[in-house]
Amino acid sequence: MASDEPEFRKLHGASVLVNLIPQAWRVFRQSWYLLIPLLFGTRAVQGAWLDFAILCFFFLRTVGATVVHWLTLRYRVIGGRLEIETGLLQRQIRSLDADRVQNVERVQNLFQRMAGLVEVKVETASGEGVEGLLSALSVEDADELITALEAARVHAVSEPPPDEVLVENNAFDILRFGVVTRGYGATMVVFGLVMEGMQLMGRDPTRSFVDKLDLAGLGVLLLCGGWLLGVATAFFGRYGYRLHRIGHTLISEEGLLTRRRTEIRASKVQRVTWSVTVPSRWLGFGSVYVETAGLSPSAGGTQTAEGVVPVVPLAHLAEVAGLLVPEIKDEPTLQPIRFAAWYAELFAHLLRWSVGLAFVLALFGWWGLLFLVFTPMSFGLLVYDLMNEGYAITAELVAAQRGGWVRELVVIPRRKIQAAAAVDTFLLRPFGLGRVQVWAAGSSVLLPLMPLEEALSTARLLGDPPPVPPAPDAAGQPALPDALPAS
Amino acid sequence: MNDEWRGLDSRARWMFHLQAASQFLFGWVPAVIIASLLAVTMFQVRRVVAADLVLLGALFLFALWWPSLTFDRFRYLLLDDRLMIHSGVLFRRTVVIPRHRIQHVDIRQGVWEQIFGLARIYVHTASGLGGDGVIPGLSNEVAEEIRDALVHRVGTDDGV
Repeated sequence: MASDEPEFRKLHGASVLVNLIPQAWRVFRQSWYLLIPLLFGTRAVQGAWLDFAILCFFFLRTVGATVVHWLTLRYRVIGGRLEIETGLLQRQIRSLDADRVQNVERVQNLFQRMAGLVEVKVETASGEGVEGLLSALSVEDADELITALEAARVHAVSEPPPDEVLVENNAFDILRFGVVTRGYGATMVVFGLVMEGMQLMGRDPTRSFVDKLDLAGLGVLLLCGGWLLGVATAFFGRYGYRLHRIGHTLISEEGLLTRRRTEIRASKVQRVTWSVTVPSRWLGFGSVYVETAGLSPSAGGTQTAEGVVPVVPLAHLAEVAGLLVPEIKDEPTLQPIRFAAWYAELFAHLLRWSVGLAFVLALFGWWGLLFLVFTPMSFGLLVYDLMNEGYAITAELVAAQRGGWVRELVVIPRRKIQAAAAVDTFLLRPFGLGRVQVWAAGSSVLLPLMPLEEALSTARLLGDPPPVPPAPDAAGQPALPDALPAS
Repeated sequence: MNDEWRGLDSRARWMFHLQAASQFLFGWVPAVIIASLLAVTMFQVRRVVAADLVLLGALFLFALWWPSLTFDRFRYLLLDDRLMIHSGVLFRRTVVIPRHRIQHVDIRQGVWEQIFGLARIYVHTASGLGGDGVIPGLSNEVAEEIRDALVHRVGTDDGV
């Protein structure tokens, strides 16, 4: 090996312990329904030893994987790419081209912050999870790595650009965001814990609650508990949110206990969504979601939105989106859906509602007719959604809006379109309607119903080569708009 | 390649029919039999047998008729700047893939394709979410011709 080649570096020695605690917590969280009755059950549970063996297996597997990961992982930046070697029995050398990096995320949970460490995640567009995961580096090593990656890019700038703060949310802003965030998943967690807790105290939960609280009261209690848990989760996750820009890199920082810093190159932004719910509209704000081509799995699913600006004043939504996608100059003027689309959507909803009613009647007999009480609300919400549905296609953008209660406007720059398709189904054919779906890297947008011929010509139009982009700057990056004036 | 819509190789029709027949014989028939064995514990044998015959008859007619419809409605068009694929019977789909967005092209041959001397092309973009294109039932020569035409563009912006 040549002497002037950079040497491989390893993870920090404390990474074993620092990673073990959150990994163990993750195993516990995913198997709480086995663990709680096992540890606190008052009756002998059949198969308890098997549950215990399964838990031990997953825990030891976690410990083993963490130790092997620390022992075998080493990395370096060489020849314009990041090289990461891992593995004991199955060794792997992964090479990531610096120019193909979509975004870099730095995460510090509580234990990492106490130890002065940081986790670095490097994502490309392959969509196979986090392509470069360095679970515990010192802050200095992390800074050095990110600087080296930036310097290795083809259009790297020699002078350090200024740091501009674009958006800052204070604690009150984040609390407002948390208040309108839905936490139904948390409701189920609370429900499970309450049921288990009552059984441990030797009470039959259904009997106690039926005696003392009616079912509606139980439902309200659980929803409130789940909502409060959702508020707390959102607050701790988004606390201290800050979006700033250094050159052509957008950086978002957030989190109270686990501090998360995500760096996204402006040229890699594939899709921007701005979202306004009815409650958030009352509180005077919306949220902006940014997606790149890097998808990474997170607990419980695939994380698609790389960055979220939690609180943006309603009047500034288009401006903030424009900071992320330069083609967005103002809120696009949307074309509403056609008259025939109204009929088609209402007819489809009627079909779905009828199937639901038949199912409920089959389960509950004539009591199922109570389901009809929800009919006006369901159709009313659909009409409200359709009133706000629309789309726009300009020389530079494709935009689609849907929803009344949760209104979302999705924008994809045309220079990012990978493919487009026009779809019609046997249900839409009598109405002469079709839909257009547009794909960017790692995301897509569905336009509203339109006449089929228009859908076909729109799909062909969007398959045309992209229009000439704005003149790039000296570093070969698209020109970016100025930051928002400080409010 | 000409700028006109093209269909699949004629052998693909027979391949689709045989695929549907094997799916009927080795998939649907055993499934209906297993479901019937469970159903006879709850319903009269006579009714279960009648329902089986009706269901298998419908599936048989479907397996006989559907492959030809699928074959007849599959078209593709290769232009200088894009690939268009039109397919589907109940759910019709026209996909437009700009050629400069194509990441890579796969040619695959399953057992049925190998028996009939056919191949299937998979066109991959960076979308990763179903915006890619599939053309089944091509002769090996045509599949290679299309692949060579699609992958020769290098160094262009892939929009990622």
